[in-house]
Amino acid sequence: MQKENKVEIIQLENGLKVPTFEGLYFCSRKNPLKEAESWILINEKILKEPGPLAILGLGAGFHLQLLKDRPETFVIELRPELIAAWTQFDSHFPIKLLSEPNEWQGKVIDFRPAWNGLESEYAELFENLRGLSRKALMRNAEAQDLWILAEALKRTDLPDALELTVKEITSLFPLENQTEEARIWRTLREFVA
Amino acid sequence: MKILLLSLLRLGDILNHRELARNLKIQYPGCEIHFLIYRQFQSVEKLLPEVNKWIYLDRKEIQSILVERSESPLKAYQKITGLMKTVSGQQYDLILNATHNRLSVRLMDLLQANEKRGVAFEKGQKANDQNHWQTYLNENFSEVRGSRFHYLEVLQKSLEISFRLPKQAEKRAPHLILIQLLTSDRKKNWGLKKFFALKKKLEAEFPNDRILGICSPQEKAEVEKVFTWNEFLTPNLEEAAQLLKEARLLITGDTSIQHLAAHQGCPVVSLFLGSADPVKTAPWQLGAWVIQGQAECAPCSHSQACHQASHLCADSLSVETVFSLVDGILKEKEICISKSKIFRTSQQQNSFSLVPLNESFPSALEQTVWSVYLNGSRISQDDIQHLRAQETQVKKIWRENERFKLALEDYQKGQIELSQIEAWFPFWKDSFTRLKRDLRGWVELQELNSIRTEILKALMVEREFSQNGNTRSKSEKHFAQA
Repeated sequence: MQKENKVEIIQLENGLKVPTFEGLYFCSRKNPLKEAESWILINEKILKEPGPLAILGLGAGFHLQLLKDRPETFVIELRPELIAAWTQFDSHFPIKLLSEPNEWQGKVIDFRPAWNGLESEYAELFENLRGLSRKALMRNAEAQDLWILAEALKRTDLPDALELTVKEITSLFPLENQTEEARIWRTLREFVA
Repeated sequence: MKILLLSLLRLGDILNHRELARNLKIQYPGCEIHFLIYRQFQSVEKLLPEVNKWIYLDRKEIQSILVERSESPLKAYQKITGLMKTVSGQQYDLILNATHNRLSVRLMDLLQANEKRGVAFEKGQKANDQNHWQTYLNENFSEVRGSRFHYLEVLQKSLEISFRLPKQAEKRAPHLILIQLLTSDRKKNWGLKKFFALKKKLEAEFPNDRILGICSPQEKAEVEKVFTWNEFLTPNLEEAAQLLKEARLLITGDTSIQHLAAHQGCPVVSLFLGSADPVKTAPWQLGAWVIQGQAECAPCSHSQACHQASHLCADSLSVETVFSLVDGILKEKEICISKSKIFRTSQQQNSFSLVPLNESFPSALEQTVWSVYLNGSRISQDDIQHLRAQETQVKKIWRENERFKLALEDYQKGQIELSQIEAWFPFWKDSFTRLKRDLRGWVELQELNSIRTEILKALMVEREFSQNGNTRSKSEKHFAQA
């Protein structure tokens, strides 16, 4: 057992060494390998798609080990201590960490066991990065000067966390609204018609 | 001059749209032609040398963002604004919409150019049709509805592109016969086992030709269930084009390969099954052959799967029938097939037409009336309804009265006057009286007379064909009985 930056490396019953932080585990205690395999299986479709992908949660890294041949795969980890101790994990291999997670523009996927103890921070970041909720859409619309959408989202009484579909976004614009913004959303609606 | 053409359909349609690019180059000498297509069809680039620049729309990526929802919809929004920026940067003189769907009409509303042609929205509202052909396109190509004209003819006339008839199929020496084994739509497939049996019969009958199946690389596994590895090829589009440049004949379903073959001058025999409508999508080539499956439900809806217990239209075409047709074509002998609908693509007046080999029906008449009508300057929904009713009546007359055809023949020979036909067959006069009434106010009497003359000419053409084909015995037999 080693101690560094409050992160402890614990040896599980099956012999694997995993990190803990202030008594918290970031992967399954019984079988982290199986947990990682199941996670890969559940997210198979998105993981197989080419293009940049950010994974939210370093955990014990076994899920990342299974993805080490996937190009353009990045990791977002909110505990700097866990990152510092990364070389001591059994799953250790070179990873690409995102230093500015809020600026990430690509796809994002969650590894929730790694969120232990920081669930709300991770959930908020995840929601922001996916940009599907009313709140995230409103903020991003403002940031991109899409004022008509931002205003339309403000006027609704939908819950902040509600994730909106393109159909729901399009329905925010009454037919008499023929601004370019509204017409672009109606065009996007045709992609899923 | 810079022209952008929206071709946001499937591969076969993009290949068909090459005809538009060719004719635009003639109509506007020195013009630069750009195509907007879905990125998934990027491989078509080298097959359309007339196109100077390709612009891509990432449909799959946008759909993935919006459907799978793993990213913000704002990213999809940025994709559209990116496209708008690209298009406005090109400063097009003309944008043509060769696509007939809601996505394209909305894009037409967003893209900027000095002039736009084709179905479009303007500030969120459907723009008025620019001519009768466009109305006809909207009416007859949006759903399961018959057409009297080929898709490319209606499209070009609706977009006011100088219309030219396609080239004749080339006559080629024995060397290679290709069989496209599958289509992209299960209900348009004839069946691999039938194609296998046909291949064996052709090999026995035409020893100087190599008979080869072809399919796309994605279809290989399915084809391997029936054909051995050395009996078929899986060429990419460019390789397929090269093969078709040399082949003596292509036997296919309603596929993009049939259009590619037409580009290469390769003679085509097309098996039209399921939703495939030969009048709309026959190979764009004079002298191509089309054989259509017979079933009450054919042609069926494009978007629905076959609902029959067995594939009735495919079952109606036997290996023997298709072999007899191919044998007759290659040996240039009389084709005697009575149980199936067979057509040959040809020129009728100034239209592309499907001439039936063994059934006499007034396709020429219908085409002529409609062509004259659509070339007019105004049209309303009521006009279309009237003309449709009128056409049904004429069709009924034609089918029911064989004697009428023979009277027309006498008229052609100069043995009787037109007034005599009208006196003997009052329904003919009545139908014209109705036509005059229906069309009053938008065509001059002189034009009506010219419609009448055109119809008569068309009837004569049909009769002439009938004399050269195998149907004479049928009509004469009927007359003898009368």
